Amino acid sequence: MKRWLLLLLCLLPIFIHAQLLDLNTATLAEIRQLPVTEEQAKDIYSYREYISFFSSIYDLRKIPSIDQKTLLKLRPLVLVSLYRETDEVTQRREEIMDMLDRYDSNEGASEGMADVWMDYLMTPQNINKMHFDDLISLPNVSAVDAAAILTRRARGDTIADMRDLRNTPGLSYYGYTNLRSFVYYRDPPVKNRVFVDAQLQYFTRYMEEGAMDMMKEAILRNTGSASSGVIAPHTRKYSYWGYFGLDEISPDVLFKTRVRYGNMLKSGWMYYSSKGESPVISMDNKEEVWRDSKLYIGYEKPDFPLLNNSSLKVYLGNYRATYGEGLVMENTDFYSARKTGYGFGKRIMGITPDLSRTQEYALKGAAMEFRNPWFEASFFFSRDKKDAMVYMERDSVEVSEGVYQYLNSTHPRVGANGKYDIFSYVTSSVRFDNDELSAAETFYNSELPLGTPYNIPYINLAPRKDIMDEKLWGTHLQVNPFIGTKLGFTTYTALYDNVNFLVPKGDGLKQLLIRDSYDYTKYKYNDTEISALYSTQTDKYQRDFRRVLGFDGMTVLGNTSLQGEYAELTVTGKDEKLGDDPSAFIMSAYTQFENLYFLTLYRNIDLDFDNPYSNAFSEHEKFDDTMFDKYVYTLTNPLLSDLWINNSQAQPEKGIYFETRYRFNNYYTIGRSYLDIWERMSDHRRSARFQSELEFRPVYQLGLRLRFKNQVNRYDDYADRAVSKTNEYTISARTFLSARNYLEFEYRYNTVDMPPYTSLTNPADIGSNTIVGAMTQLKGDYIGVNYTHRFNQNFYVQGSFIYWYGHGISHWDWEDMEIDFMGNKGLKSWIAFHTRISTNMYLSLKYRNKTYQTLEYYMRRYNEPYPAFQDNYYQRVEHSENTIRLQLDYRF
Amino acid sequence: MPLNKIYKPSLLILGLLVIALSLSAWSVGDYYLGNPVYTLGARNLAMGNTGVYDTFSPMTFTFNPANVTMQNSQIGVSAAALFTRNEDSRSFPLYNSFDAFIDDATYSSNINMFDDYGIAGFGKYAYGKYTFGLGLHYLPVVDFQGIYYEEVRNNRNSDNDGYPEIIAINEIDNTGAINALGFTLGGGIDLGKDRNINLGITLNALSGDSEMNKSIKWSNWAMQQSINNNTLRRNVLPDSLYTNKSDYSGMQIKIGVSHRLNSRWGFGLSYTLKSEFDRDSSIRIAYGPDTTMAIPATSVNLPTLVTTSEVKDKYILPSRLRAGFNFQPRNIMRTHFNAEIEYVTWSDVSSFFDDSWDIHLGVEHQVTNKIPLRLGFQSITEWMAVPDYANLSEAGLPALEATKIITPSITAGSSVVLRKNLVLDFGLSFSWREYQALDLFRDSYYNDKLHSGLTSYLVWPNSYIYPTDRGWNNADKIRESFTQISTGLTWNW
Repeated sequence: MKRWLLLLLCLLPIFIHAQLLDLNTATLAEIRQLPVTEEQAKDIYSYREYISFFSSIYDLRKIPSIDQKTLLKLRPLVLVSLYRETDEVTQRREEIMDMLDRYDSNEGASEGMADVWMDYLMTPQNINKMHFDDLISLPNVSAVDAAAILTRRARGDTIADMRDLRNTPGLSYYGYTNLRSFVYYRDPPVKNRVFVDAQLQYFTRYMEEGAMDMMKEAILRNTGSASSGVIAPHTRKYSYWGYFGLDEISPDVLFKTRVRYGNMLKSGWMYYSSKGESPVISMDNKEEVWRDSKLYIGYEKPDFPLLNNSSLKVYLGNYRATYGEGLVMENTDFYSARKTGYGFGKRIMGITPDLSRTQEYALKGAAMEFRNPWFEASFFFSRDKKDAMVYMERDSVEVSEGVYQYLNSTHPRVGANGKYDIFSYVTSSVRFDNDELSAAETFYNSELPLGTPYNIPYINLAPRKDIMDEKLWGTHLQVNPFIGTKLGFTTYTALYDNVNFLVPKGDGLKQLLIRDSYDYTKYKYNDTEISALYSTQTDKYQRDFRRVLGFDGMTVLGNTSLQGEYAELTVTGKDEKLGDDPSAFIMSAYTQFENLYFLTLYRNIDLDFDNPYSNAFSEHEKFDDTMFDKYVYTLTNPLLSDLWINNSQAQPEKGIYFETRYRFNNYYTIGRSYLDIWERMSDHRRSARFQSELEFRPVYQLGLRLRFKNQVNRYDDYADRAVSKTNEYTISARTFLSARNYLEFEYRYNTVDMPPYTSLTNPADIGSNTIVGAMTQLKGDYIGVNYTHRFNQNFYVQGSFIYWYGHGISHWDWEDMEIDFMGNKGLKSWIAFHTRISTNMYLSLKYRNKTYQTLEYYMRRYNEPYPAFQDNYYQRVEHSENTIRLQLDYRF
Repeated sequence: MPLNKIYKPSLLILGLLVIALSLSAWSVGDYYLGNPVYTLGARNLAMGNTGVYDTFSPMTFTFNPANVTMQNSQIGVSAAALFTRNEDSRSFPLYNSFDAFIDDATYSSNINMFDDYGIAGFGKYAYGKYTFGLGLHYLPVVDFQGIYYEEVRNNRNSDNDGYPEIIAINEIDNTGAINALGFTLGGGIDLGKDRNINLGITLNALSGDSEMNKSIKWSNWAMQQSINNNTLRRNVLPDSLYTNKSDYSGMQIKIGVSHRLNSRWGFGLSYTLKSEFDRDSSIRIAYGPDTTMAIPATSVNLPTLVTTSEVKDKYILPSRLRAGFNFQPRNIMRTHFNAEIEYVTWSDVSSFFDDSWDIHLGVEHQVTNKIPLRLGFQSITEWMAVPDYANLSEAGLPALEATKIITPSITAGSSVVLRKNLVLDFGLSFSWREYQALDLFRDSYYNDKLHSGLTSYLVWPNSYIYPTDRGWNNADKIRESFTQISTGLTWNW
């Protein structure tokens, strides 16, 4: 009996509550039964349906129509049950929301790596089964951290939870904080299921300075004589810019969808159409859309059935392959300066799916990777059509027997072996349609004879889309003899079935690339970098492939990791013999303490180590400062400049780089600081670059930063005209406000001491530019403010305003993780709205205005003879750019 | 390639009309159709001109007639005004001519304000699970307003802090609009909790007129050069005035369906049929010297040549298919999200226009109590067609060049509840576009040697000037921006 009474007592509240109305489950009709008006009933229903479930009765007061009196009236009549709509996936997404946000905005800069990391954030890997390369591929996790975890596991220990991870001996706090969201311990936070990530990006943009100058370059610059009345140099259409109407707004559109089942089965599709190319939503380019789409399907098995603790990956379609220091293989179209492999310059080792915007160096085929604690092996094969800079030959007709007359039209030149002769791979700023390019060149060729008689009076080199059939196969084999130690061998061979790579040397190259013999003086010593491009047809060999092989290694000694890679491009030597061919070598040491790290990196890249699939450390991209960069107006085809603008290879350099960061205490931190001393291999120009920053944080909410940057080019030879010294001083104040709002002010002052390039230093008047000083100092400054306001957890706004001045100085700004260079003087402002529309849907909308004055390309003719009325000099003019970026994501 | 080129004798009339219409719209861009007015609804404008599924305003009949039975209230009236600020900057390519500028250096810049007004109302009645609705509106469909002013100056003195003399004034002044008096009929069926389906049809009686004026007037200074010339002793520089007055009348039919799937999702689809209707135009061209100028007694002015003509033709508005959804998620801010695409059959107008897809997106958050923040985006594709007289066919007809223009916009807005059932909405839109276009006033007209018969210029002191027409090889670069403010009062009961 007592038991029954006790049970009755326990059930009493339920009986009492049974008469109360549960606000989280009541229908609108039931709510109407309460002592509320019709409007209030609807408001209560709407609140629950469209804003939030009630967590307490007092949430009713958040509804504008419910006053305190009504609440008191309702309180005895209603209850609120615990009701959560979220599933484990939603919950997981909430946990990692900030990191997803960060990688989303970083997507442009990381080129596809963000996708991989976001997948592992959502469906983490088991830390007790991860391999060394899995760990070091995660952002900001060092080899020392990875070795610490593996060492612990090797002792038979299992990491049980996050706190346990933190207690791992040798694991830095920094490594721990970066690692913890990417891993799980016992059970995964999310069970395997189908995940879908869909994204639409629509944005408009303006070409950057180099690409814009290249496109606007007039094909014909000198006429036969000043009195001929030829006005061709001033006709807009005699430039790629005018011909292809690049003034017009033409959006970049990107569609991307990834569908996967856990981390096991993965697939993806991406299509990107760039400014100046056919818009994606067009009924007449279906075939092209299919050809330029990136797609993959993959299978990943972390527990290979036959071998303990082994994993297998198989991918079909587009994939990325990255090994060592990126000297043999790291396929991307995008260059990144000072890519150390650490911190923000991280690489994801091995085979990964690829939905990046990379087209030229995309690998499309099949790839397989096997990993085991002792041994790793990858094999990959790709077959794809590539764009190339092609030798063009004029068409001709037979006007009388044996007498031929040239036409203005051209065709790709075919060599004696029946293959196209090409100069190089090319990643074009705009991938024009081949037929349209051909028509444009015919148009230009009709104009060129009007100019000074040229050696080659036609467009002799031109890019062509998908002209090269490339078959590429490669492998990476690796042994891991000890924990934290690995030795690898990587090689690939690219077979060219239908092209010959031909690059003449010396005068031959000069005459090939420069239109007017008057400009032959512009061919300088450092242009040997161009003549060092790889040829498949030389006096010493004839072949149809390019082969690169190399060795890489890494070891962890205490809190220091050493790693390096050596690579050789097969030219005249033997594959099996090292040292007889052009080579590249990178070696680095990284030492970490809790509050301090040191990184030392040495690189030595031979001038003729021409590996298009490399993406290694350097200060500059290949062809920087060559005629492709500086003297676009001398080239036989301005589009040759794309070989520099979009080059993803490192410039041949040798030098040593030091980097450190030290956090003294809560108040003072020396931020990422580095010193780089290097020599350019082409002309042995020596340069040094130093950057350091000090942050003082008197209170948590306020950070004051001082930054200093100094770069000296050709520091060892002050008698040379090319010595330049750049100093940059920056002070910034950052305030971390409540609700994670953020406000930052920055002021920068620069000086550049340099030789007197009058186009930068003198006014643009005719006749006043002939006297130059021995040395010139340019000064510039910059002031900026950034603000982020979070209205709530689902909606925030970012804004920025910058004003800069720099006569001849180029300023830079990190805008949404992408660097923006700003010349001369102007102002820039942007505002971005980021809203989470629902649990699964995200929208970002950004508008930017950049108004600036810049140098016109006509300015380059300073102090050079000019024919009357033909090449006038013009003041700088204003440009005003409006751009928009829309990104819509849907994830479930 | 953005430029399409076609020769068609049958397009002569169209070509002539295109010349006339080239002077139309808020911008003086060569729109075939003037500027289409998507909506005057401030809420819709603020949300990227979305509204194919909309329950808030009678103005949304312009997107989808099925909205009439979807409105949240029984009766509603909305009145709205749209103010448009157009900034038009024209840059000329570097060219060995008087208007030689480079790249973005602006040759002429015009800023003008325009306005449009409209009203719409509706009533609906529910009978069981059926709902019937009626709507009435008077709204602009196409706006022809446009103003352009340009000074032609000679090429001296500017390097000594002086202004070079004005040679001629070029002006375009267009007015007019096509308005729609629309009658909407709708019916809906309630399919259960938060589910319904609605159908609607709108008949628009379109009527309107436009007057387009384009003139070139030589300055007093230029004419004095002619009068003072020892050989001429009279003004031989002819002014030019082109006037085109047109009347439009026709019908437009729009049908639509909307379906509320559940409490979260609603879908809408509307189809505007191609409208082809009559346009009567009277064209007057006056060409001759200004006879008010004092000339020597021994000389006489040339007579002014006036030609008039009447043209009857068909005016075409292309068909449009718009589809989209409204999503109302559970969010800590009350949220509406609209996404729509519109397929515009530009090929209805001409075979050398390609059909296009437009994108519209909008979101509304109730960030704070009853104060919504609306944001939106749209990307619209339109076509420009102009005759190229430098490019004639064997029959002597000008080639018609068609250029596609993409106009992206960002939008924002909010609203204030003034009284119960009375809401003041306001929306802001900023759009911009860049494109190439032929010279609005052809350069050869200012080659005074053609008028005077002399071997030297009257008005161009520097001998190397050679005013000649520029074709597509040296097109102008146009940068335009539009700032639109829409405000509307909506009363619902």
